[in-house]
Amino acid sequence: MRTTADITAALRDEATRRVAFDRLTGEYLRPLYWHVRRLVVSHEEAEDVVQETFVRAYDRIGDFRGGDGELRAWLYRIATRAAFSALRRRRRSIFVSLDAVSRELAGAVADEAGPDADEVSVRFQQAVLRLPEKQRLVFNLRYYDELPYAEIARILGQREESLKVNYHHAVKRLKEKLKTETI
Amino acid sequence: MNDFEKMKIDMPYRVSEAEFDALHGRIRRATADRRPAPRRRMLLVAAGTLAGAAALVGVGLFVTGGRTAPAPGIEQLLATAPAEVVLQAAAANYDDILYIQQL
Repeated sequence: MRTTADITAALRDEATRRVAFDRLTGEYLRPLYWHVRRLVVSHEEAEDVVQETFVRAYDRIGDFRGGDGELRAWLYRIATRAAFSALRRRRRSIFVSLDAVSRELAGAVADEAGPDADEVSVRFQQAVLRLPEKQRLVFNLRYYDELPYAEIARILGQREESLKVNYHHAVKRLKEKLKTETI
Repeated sequence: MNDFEKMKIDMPYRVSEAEFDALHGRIRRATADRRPAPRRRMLLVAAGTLAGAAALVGVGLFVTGGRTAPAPGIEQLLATAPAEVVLQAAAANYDDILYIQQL
């Protein structure tokens, strides 16, 4: 069970499923944690969301019918939904947008990062959190996770062209934001 | 900082390997006593089959329900139907020779 293909095959077999799922968790724990952490900011919340992601994935593993390349996108999709559910629970009222929640979270980055954190990284992360939801998601998945547009399209259920436009706008906004901060 | 496309800017948070190991342990414990849910696709197929069967039974009952009126007597049929029709019906359902003889 060395490759993703081996894990996918083992997940389909009830006898090897548990061991395969443990391997799957080990392989995707870190990337999913960072993906979620970029959205929810808090370490404890990110841990809860990642746990929820893997529990949901385990429950629904019988439904997974994709190929080896689909497994990562499937897990990212579950994690993204779980993270947004966590953000929705954090809203003070249903009239508060998730973008407003993220903007609030930007203020918590410095505390979460601690006093020894690199200031440039903190400011950059704050600027990313102030991006609109779609731009933020595609920026994170492309810039940090380095996923291809085709895979991001499967995760977010959007067209590649639209993702490219969103990424372009995200980069432009970040540059403008960081330029004004530097001046 | 505006060169972030050329020079990757890391995340400002630090998480130790021990924390990741602990999280892995949490997930292992959380899934230990669980069984994956039955395939939703199979459930959908089973539900669809049952719904189809129920619909067929319903249609059957509806159609036969409309035929509860008593059928007209054979004498009345013979009196009103043209001879060709009676012959065709007889050929399909009864002993032809006997019926022709009766006519």
